[in-house]
Amino acid sequence: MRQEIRIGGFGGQGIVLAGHILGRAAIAAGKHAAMTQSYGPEMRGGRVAADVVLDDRPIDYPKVIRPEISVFLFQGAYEHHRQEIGPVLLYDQDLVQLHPEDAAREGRTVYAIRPNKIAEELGRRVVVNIAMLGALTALTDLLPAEVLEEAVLASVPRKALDLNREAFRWGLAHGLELRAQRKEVEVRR
Amino acid sequence: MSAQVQATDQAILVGQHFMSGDDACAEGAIAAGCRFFAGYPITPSSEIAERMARRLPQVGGIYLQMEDEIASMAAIVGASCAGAKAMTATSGPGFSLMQENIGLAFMTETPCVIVNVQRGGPSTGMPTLIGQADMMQVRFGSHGDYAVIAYAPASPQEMFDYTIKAFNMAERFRTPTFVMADELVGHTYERVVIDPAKIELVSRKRPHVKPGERFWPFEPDPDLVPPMALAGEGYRIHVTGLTHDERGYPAATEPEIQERMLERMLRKILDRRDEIVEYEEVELEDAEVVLIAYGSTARAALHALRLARERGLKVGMLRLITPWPFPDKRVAALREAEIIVPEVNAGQMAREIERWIRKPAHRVNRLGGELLHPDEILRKIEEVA
Repeated sequence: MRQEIRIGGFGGQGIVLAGHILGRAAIAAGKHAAMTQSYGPEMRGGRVAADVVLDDRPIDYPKVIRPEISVFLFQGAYEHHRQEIGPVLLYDQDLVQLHPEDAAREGRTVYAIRPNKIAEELGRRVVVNIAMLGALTALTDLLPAEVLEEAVLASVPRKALDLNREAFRWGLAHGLELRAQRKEVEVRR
Repeated sequence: MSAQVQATDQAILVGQHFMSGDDACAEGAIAAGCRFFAGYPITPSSEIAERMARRLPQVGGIYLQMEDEIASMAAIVGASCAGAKAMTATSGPGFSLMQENIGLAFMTETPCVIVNVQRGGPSTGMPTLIGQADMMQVRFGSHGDYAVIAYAPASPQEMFDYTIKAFNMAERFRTPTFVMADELVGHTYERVVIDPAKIELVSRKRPHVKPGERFWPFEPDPDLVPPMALAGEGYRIHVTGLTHDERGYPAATEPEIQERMLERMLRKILDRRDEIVEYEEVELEDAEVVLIAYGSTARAALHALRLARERGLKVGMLRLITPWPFPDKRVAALREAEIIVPEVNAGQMAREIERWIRKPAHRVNRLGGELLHPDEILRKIEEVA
């Protein structure tokens, strides 16, 4: 089955690396993956998006057509891509202010995640992308967490292995918690 | 015949990678034995130069950052004359500057590989966005008559595979060859599998005699390709862009030598076109509508094809892997079908296709900056089916 994921943020957040890790994990798990990127016109600090397509079959068209999962860590990226948000939306609640009309509704699940806060508490904001990947892994069933963690550790500098492992696991726990909370709400309904 | 050897050296990154097309191109070149790169980085090909700058010193090769693309092209011709497998990579504006020395490479029968990661043009156009508008320039861009071997890869894996093939063909025929990629192929990351057992390498023919013995550098073997002596080995050689005889000496006022030399240079490639031409057929058996596409556009076309098949439409695709030499016989055999040609240009390969199907094709064009969307191609399929 073809799955399309868009990760949007700003230059410096490691958005493209996050997309690369997701694709790398997918091919390690025997899937097909394609990643493309898009940028705003700014030289630095501008919006960037990593678009990842996953499939069990070989991928024909490598670009995202209608993202099933959108993740935003930057207001500018969210604003630019908000017309193409699909059934699942994750956004960093400390970095993105959601328009009310984009909120959860019939057929759309929205998660307010806090990878930036996790990264700040770890003392290194550069791991916001890795904490985000942890949350994404927990909140979707794209790939097993072990496969993702392995791809994270294979993609980051050796001296930063512990920091990134911690960021990923913290993000994962955060995501699992959000997922459990939603389940509880659904059960109560 | 050229020597064929199995690649075994450690320069080959064996295994599975999640790699961009530009990176895969650089790795393909190194796996093919390329040990000299001269270039002037230009978007969207810069990652090739960047990776070559990092990788070539690791394998004993040379990376030269040149002052411009004219010099880059001259440098790879020189390096190849000295024995190196040599490459440059560029995009539209640089490709234009290279044209004169591309002609020099043809005229001096110097093997080398030129990669063009196409972007929107003309001029500096759209540096970061896709184009496919250099497909005629690669065929006719330099002055004079010459025969071209060009590949249009459609994925990072093909960037790896066909860069190797471009080197092999360059070495086999003593000619410059081209990898006509596009921004999307260059910048997409996908699985690239590098398996040394599947890599076959070809190297240029060497003189049949020892240095000091009678040797004419442009005297061909029966396959019309002359063995190549390298600068500094002790053979007497003379290399010039002027029309020259078999000894390499200028014969710029002798039309019969021009006829003899140029005809051989064209025939050494065109007589073997059936061994060079490559294409992929997709569901052509019962196709009433046929898409003819290449590069990234072929992937949008394939998506459209699958959607159309789900709707019961009899659609097939011929993907041009070598736009040049053009697969003329295969295309001509499709003339009973409705032919759709999607391209990110104003209709370049469509002209050549129409020559062979002897009727107008249904053209779907973007002028650059954006790949055709599968839906646009699907609409055209539904319109003509």
